[in-house]
Amino acid sequence: MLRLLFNRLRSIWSRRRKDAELDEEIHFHLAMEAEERLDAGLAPEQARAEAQRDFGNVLLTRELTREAWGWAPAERLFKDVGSAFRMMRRNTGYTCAVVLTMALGIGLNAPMYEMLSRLFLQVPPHIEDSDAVRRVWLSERDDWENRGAFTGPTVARDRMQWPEFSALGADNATTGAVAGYTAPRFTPNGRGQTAENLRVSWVTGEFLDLLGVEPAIGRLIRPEDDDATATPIAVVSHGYQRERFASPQEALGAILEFDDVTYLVVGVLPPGFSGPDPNGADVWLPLEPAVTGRRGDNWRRFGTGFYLTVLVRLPAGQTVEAAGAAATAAVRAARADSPLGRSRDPEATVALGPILRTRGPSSLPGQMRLTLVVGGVTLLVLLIATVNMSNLLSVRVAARRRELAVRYAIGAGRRGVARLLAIESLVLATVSGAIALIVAAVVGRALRLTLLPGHQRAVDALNVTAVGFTGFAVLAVGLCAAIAPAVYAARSRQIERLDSSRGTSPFGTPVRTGLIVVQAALSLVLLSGTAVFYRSFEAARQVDIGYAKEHLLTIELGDFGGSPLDESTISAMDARVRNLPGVTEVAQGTNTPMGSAAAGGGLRVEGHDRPPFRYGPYVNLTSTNFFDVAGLEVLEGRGFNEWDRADTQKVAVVDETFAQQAWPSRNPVGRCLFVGSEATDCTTVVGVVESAIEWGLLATDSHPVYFLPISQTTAIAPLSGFAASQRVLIVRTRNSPGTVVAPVLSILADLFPDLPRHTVQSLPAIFASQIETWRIGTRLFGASAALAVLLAAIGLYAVIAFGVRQRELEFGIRRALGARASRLLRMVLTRGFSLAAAGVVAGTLAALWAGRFVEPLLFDGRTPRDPLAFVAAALVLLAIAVMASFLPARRASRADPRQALEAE
Amino acid sequence: MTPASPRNQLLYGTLDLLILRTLVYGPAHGHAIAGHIQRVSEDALRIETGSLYPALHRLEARGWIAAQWKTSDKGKRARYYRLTGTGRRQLAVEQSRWQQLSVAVTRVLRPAD
Repeated sequence: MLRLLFNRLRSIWSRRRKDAELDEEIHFHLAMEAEERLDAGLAPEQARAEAQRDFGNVLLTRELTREAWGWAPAERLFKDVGSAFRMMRRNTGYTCAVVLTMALGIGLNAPMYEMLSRLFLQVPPHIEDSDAVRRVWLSERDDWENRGAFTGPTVARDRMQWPEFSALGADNATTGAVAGYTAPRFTPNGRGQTAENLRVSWVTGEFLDLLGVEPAIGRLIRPEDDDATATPIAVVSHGYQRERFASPQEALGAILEFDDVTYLVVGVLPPGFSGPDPNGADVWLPLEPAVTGRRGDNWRRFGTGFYLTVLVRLPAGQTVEAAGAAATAAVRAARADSPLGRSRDPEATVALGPILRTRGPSSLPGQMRLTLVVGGVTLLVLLIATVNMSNLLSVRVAARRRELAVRYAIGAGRRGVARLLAIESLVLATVSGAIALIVAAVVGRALRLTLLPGHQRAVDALNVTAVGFTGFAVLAVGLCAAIAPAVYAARSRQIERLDSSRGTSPFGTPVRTGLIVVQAALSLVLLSGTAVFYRSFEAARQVDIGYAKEHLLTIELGDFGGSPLDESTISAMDARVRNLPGVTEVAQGTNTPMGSAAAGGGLRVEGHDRPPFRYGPYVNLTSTNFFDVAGLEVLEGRGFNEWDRADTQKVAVVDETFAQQAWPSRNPVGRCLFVGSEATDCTTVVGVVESAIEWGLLATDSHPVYFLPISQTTAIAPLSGFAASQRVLIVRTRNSPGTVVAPVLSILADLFPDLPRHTVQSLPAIFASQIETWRIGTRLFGASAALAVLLAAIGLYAVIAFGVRQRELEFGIRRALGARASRLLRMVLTRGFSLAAAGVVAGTLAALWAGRFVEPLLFDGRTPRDPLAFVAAALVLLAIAVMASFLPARRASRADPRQALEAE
Repeated sequence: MTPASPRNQLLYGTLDLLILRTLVYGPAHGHAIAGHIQRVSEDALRIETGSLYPALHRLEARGWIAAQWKTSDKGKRARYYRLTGTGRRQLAVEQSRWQQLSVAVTRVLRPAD
């Protein structure tokens, strides 16, 4: 058996030699026969002729012998593949259209499918019995009016405070094992500007145990590591280990430093492990040393702002509902137990959801929703591509009617023709598939980087699923493509087809034109989506946030290392930055514009017993030139000046939101604020400035802020400490602030060598990240729409061109009868135009319906049913349609009347 | 294909047996094999080249015979076939199968005995 196979293989390799040998063997036979006849006394000529005759059909003998070699089917395949390639070369336009259509359709969808399945379907790898692991969701209502009544909308979050978490853990029998973790967050490893920014998660001691993950090497975090007295240890992801260390062994024993605590790396997680979320951390630290290092010792209390995401592993036989009820009781008891806990909703309920966050009860965050919408969009593109494919194919089959009929006529078998067609389609599909893989690799990377920043380490390049998806799609399309012409070929067996190659249908069948209309409609949906997103993007970009955002750079001098900031170093920094070329002015404050703000609690407001604010208020301690530099306009009264010193009357400035909420109908200037809960002396409000929009882009995102001059706060104990631990330099630049980042960083390295790079940020960069959703939306919709329109144009062109070619004779006759070229041109253009117009109508209806899915993503309640967007989309589509039908139209108008007459 | 006269119509598979049997006497080229069969059968069996060469190459592919280029007694290069070990065993199998068949056919033809 093996030998048989070997012989066959060998015969394939030595095919040429064997052919020559066979020839020689046959010649020898003929020579011997001739010789025998010569010996019998025949003349040489006659002897040869008789030998030849008696031998019979030399070609047939050779053919039959070759089949005995066993590779005839392979040879036939080679031939058919070769002919398929020749066909592709001959019909370059058709080939390009098909290959492009499939490559783009599939190449775009494979990575998108991959990403969506990771976000919504697949449980992250290395989690044992993942159905039993549940994510804990806490649903509660906020104290909306700050009146002690919980009347706000119910919000579900997968985060809770430490006392609630520890209450859950107390009753293991019903809820099962409990563990908590924090979402990965960028943290510098080490100090200074060269520190490596790593994504770090803090986990309770039971966390990795609960998931059931096994280390790739070393050991993982154990309960005893989560303790103040234990040596701080760390485990690292496989991706980080590979990037940073030559071998896993080298990672063990390495030292990492976060928030001034040094950690010993004791283990490496298995490849692909990303925790319960698709975006896993680089480094996992035990909770106790990590939180204490960052926040000090008080983090376990209610109201410290420290939150954990909690997972439970249900005990066998326990239902989700029973465990949820037990957890609800535990959380409510924990809240009733402490004064700060009682300030939260006592009716809060706990629900245990699937481990995937995206399948929990909370409504989707913007980025996730955008991903879903993009998924829908790529599906539309695939749909368009498929429609295009079938359109191209049917046009192609119709065009080949004559060729197929000829093939039958000269004796090709039905099976032979079907095989040839199938192989042609499969070759085409394979070539497209190969290109699709390349597109998938490139597009996939770009998509992941824009849609899922921070996921790139967990989601490796092109993986098996994507390749499988592409392969499957190629096979499916290839086979469908093979079946269509084969079925048609079987039907067109009759010889009379030879004669009927000129069809009579005007411009393709109803099916074909219907597909064109569908394509145009889908393109219109995408085009109008692009326009809608673009309008949102522009509106968001032009929002006046109050700050002079185009010209500001912020330098955050945090209390890195815990010691108070040195006032003289700050002054030196201030002076040196001020002298940089391109810098016009420097102010100081304690808050970062669009970044962070300090809660200014313990404030009493004249005329109110309790603070009259829903959120806040926030406090900002500033230098006297702050409003000027930041670009906040003083609306009433005055800003600070050099007379506001420690020994003069205490003054404050409030923002518009503060003034409206505190004194809705009265003049705020001259009112009193009492700073500090025990304070009795009046701090006079001397001015009102415009409100800045800090935490979003809507007017409702501005919160009440009051400002105090730094110079007057040195005497007030809590405030002076605050000003000394946190200082932000606000730098006004002449041009784009990006240009002074480098010199500012080098000054920073001189004076504050411990501070990391991201201390320095330009406001345009921060703002750009705020409007990222709309920018991405515009780009993705734009790219998809461009693709869709391109595909639709190809499809329209193919159908119209085919129609024109079929009617060439008719056009010729029309011209012979006196029709003008311009009239024929118009006739064909009208056809293309009317197909597109039908698409516009259908597409508008579809887009009106689909608008609901993107509505929550648009800026400030902009409507997706934007007439201007629809008009723009329709115009683009119609213009493209006319362009696509122009070439065939010109051909029609140039039809040769003489040729037509001769042909008839 | 030339229509075969009843005289040289061979039972399927018989040609293989004849070729193998012929090669027992030593290596031979295609022409000699055909000639030998024809002579020994006293012209009763004529081998068509359209069957002979495919059969030779089929037997070679199965490993029952092996081929080698040698110079013939007439001084020309010819492809000589010889029996291999497997071929010899196969010959025994084919021969006994033929004998059984022949006995069976004879019984059918002379049922009276």
